[in-house]
Amino acid sequence: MKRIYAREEICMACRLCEVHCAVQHSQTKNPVKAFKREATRPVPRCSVEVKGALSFSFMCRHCAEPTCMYSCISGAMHREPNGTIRVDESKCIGCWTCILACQYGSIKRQEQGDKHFALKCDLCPGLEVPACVANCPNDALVLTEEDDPVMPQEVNQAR
Amino acid sequence: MSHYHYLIIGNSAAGIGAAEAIRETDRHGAIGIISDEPYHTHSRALIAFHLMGRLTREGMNFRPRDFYNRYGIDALLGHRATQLNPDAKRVWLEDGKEIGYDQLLLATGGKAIVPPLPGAKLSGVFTFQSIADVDQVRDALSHCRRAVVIGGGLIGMQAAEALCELGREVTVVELLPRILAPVFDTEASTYIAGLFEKRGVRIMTGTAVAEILAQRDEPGRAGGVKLNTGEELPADLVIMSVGVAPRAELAKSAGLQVNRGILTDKCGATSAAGVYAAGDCAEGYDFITGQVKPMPIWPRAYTGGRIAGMNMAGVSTESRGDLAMNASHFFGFPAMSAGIHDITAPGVPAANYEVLTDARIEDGYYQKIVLRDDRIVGLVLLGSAVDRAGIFTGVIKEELPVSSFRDKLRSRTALISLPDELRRRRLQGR
Repeated sequence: MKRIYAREEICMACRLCEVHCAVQHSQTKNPVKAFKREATRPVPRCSVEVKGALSFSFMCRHCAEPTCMYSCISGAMHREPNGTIRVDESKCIGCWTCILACQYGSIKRQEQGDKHFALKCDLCPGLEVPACVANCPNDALVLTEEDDPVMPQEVNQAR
Repeated sequence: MSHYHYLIIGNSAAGIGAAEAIRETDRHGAIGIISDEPYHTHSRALIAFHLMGRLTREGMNFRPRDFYNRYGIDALLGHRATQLNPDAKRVWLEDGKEIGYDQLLLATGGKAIVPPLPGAKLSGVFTFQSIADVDQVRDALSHCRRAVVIGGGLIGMQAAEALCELGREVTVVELLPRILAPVFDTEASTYIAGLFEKRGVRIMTGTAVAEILAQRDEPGRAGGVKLNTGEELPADLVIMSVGVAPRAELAKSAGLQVNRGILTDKCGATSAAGVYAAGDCAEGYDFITGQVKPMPIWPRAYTGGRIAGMNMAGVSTESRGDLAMNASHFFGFPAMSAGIHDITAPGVPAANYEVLTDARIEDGYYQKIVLRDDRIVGLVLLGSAVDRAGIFTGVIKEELPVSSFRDKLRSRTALISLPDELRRRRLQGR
């Protein structure tokens, strides 16, 4: 399964990944309109975490054994034929069991009036390279099918 | 006689979890699913949304309409399995039809407990567990102004919320000193009770219903309840939500080992060869308290069904045990708990506990972490404290000592607060 890996040693916490993710998932896909004119301010599905000099962007791992999907009470969380784990936002009722179940903390709450639903990385269907990866100015995000390419060899072998 | 390689009794989380797991390994073995309910697989947990009109019956479907077809499953819906002979590997339906199997999963779920109260059989008195219950409650709503909910657990409070949203005058009567005691601590229960009271729901704790009273002019119909204090509350509709018990009578009559629920090993296998059990009908192993007990939790049902299904299909898989956990919402306000939420609750093993809290309860923010021997064993989260809660349940499952990062546990939950080794592992997806 393809997933996006963060290279924390070169991420500088510019948060452009968050901006581009939010815009890509907005109605208009236009940065100014998305943030200024759309009824609901767009929410990124990735999150940049920062502590001192350490930072990285993080989003769904699209697990082979997705605890979010196994916990979903409505059937909204599902696996696409290509392996991506996605939320059917129209079916989600916002019970947040997936949030309690995901050990990565990669699912967010979206509340639009009475309609509550889960938001998560969908690897940007329709784009060859997800918006966060394509727009990272120093390649701190990598889309790959391999094991994490930036980890020391012995860590990969120890799995 | 029809025959299935895999026969599943139950069409909810555990049954579907098993069927999906079986199909990952065995694309062709015949699967049959029996359910006494005539409906497509749906989520019982959503019935309050259905009653409120926020979800149609179709909207409650747990899987798409073509699910059975796509997975090559014979869905025998609207048929109750009444007899099991594990030696002959046969199941009989209510209409006498006989079905043979090679591997059987009992995923029969739970049933609402009907307390032995005088008046419990009057019309206008309902349990709140199934689509059939919702249909009956909806029919009764047209002549309902006032409702009494007996039992302030999760199901009772969901019913109370739905009835309140539908404009009815609602009173919740709870025997224990607080509502939601099985899932929340006193602070969280009190806050949530306040959310209901603010919307006009009356909550009476430490109070029991002694009797359901009939209407004066219509003696077959409920007209109110009489409390143990002698007080009478008028009501045209009564919901009984005092708990759910495992539906284990089929297993019991077939001679399987049953305590309150069906007993299984780590693979989901029961005491009878070729028979598995999962979900609310089966007892679970709570790895935090060490108790074996019914654990009626949706994720445990699905995962238990999945593990049983893998073993039925020949892929040896064991459960490590279950974590009691619950994510709820009351009038849209989020609340969660996991593991030991209240160290003073009955059944909590004696140990050296420490409680870390970060609360601005008046703002609806509450984060409580329960530690035992330097490891997280419980959580209660309210409001925005629920965000990224799974990072905590992940740490609970790691059984990781937290002394090196416990000062970072409070306030915003983040992967970056975890020790380096665990953070790197999480970033890699492990």
